[in-house]
Amino acid sequence: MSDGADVLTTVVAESVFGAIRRGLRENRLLAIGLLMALAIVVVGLLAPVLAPSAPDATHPLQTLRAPSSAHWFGTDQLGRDLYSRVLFGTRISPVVAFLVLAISCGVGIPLGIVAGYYGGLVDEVIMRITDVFLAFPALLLALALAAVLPASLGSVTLAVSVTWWPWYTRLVRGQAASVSGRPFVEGAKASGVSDLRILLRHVLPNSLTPLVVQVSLDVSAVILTVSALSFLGLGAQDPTPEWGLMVSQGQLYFPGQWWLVTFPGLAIVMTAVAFNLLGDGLRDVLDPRRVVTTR
Amino acid sequence: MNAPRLALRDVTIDIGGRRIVDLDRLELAAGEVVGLAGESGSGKSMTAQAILGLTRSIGADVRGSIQLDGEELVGMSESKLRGIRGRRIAMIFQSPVSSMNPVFKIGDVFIRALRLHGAGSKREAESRTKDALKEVLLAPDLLERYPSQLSGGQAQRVAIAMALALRSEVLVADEPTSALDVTVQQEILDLLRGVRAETGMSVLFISHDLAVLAELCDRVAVMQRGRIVEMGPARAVLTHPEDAYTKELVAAVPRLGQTEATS
Repeated sequence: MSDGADVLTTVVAESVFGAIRRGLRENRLLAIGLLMALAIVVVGLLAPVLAPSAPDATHPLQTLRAPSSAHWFGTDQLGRDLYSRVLFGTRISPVVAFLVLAISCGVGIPLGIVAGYYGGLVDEVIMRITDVFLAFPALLLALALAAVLPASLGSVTLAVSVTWWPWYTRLVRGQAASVSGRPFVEGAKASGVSDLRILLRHVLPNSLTPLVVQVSLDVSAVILTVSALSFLGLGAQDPTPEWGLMVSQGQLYFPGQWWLVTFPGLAIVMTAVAFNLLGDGLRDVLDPRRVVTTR
Repeated sequence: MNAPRLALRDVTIDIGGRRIVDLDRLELAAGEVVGLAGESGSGKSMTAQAILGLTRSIGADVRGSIQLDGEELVGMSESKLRGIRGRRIAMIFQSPVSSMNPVFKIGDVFIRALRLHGAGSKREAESRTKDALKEVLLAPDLLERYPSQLSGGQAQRVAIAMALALRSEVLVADEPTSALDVTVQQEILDLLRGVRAETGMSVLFISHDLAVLAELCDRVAVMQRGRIVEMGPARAVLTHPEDAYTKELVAAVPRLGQTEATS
């Protein structure tokens, strides 16, 4: 099964990326979402170049300055340049979101596919376990976990992942179960293909489309959750320029110094909007009915 | 007469304590086309699945003896069975397009199937694929297409070409023409006839369409409620049926000039 991984990537590349390329031409919102997402990545990569000062450089004589030509987004209670901090924040929330989604997919997809394909007892056991995790409200479970673990970004990543994967298992399981009943799976069995190969080459690629959409929509949800946990003091700790943490610290000064909350808040909103547009666009483009008519 | 290529003896299939199939004897000689007729639920497809050992995954209990060239398939290990499925016993299905994974090109499917069953180098797999396509009268540029870009007839030809490329000894065809329109159906029947004549492949042809069976098969077996109620040369069974159920089946075929079925 050594060729499993590269086979998968080519499969997705052929079926999904072709549709996306078509969609970018026809669907403006998808194009905008993709551009915004790319911009976020570029800003994250170039943060040290773009930022006028270090995100944690304090200037005791320049605290709580309003936005000006010297400090575009103003300064905070320690005199740190807010613009630099927001830029560097691009390296944190989206990265945490990526990690959470990668862990969730890594756990959720294999379990879902196995449950959907084999059915019966295997399905029953896997799905009851996911039910247990789904029984708790996600934010509450993440809160409880983050409270037990030492307050850090790593803990938050882990806590959110634990609440996230069961959704993917469910989604993939439903798809995999319906794909497993389709004639080509029977055909593959009748041609002497092994179970593992059927799972990887036949069930998996045909179950992924709704997941691709869900994951891109979830980027914003994860960023908001991570920010919420940081806001509550359970995630990133000062001086990490995490957006949620910045909003949380800024709210003390909100009546007088509106910029402390507004700019990191806007960054969160922009990121959420970018990935929402991307996810919505992907859903339209990858709609199975559409794929059939355009092929 | 030589020993049969595929022989089923006293095969029973039970699902959840219910007997679905109870066959005492069914044989395919080399190069022979045997038809399996009967109404829906009579156990035709289940028999086909049992031959390929596919009944386990649905929890069916198969007993008796199914031998391929004297080798017992009932109770054979899953990994040995995988070497036989597709390789020595190929199967084609009712809806040819949906029997192929929509995300792979036809060519990829071919090359992988050939290499899975030990065709050696990629180059050898490619040349065997091209030869097989030529035999079913399809252009090689079809290999670059996805299953959804094929017509039903083309897809069924591709499926047959796969069996040819793998040099299968037995082809199990489960209603291979039922979803195709009449002219395409005729092409597939002609093709199967040609393949049988050239390669000596044995074909188990499952259909509820008696006209198709009469045209293609050497012998026909009629199944009802899991049992074979009548078996014999195609012409004899379908023109002068002996069994009451077969008579009913034959009488149910509408004929030109007949206003009402008389039975």
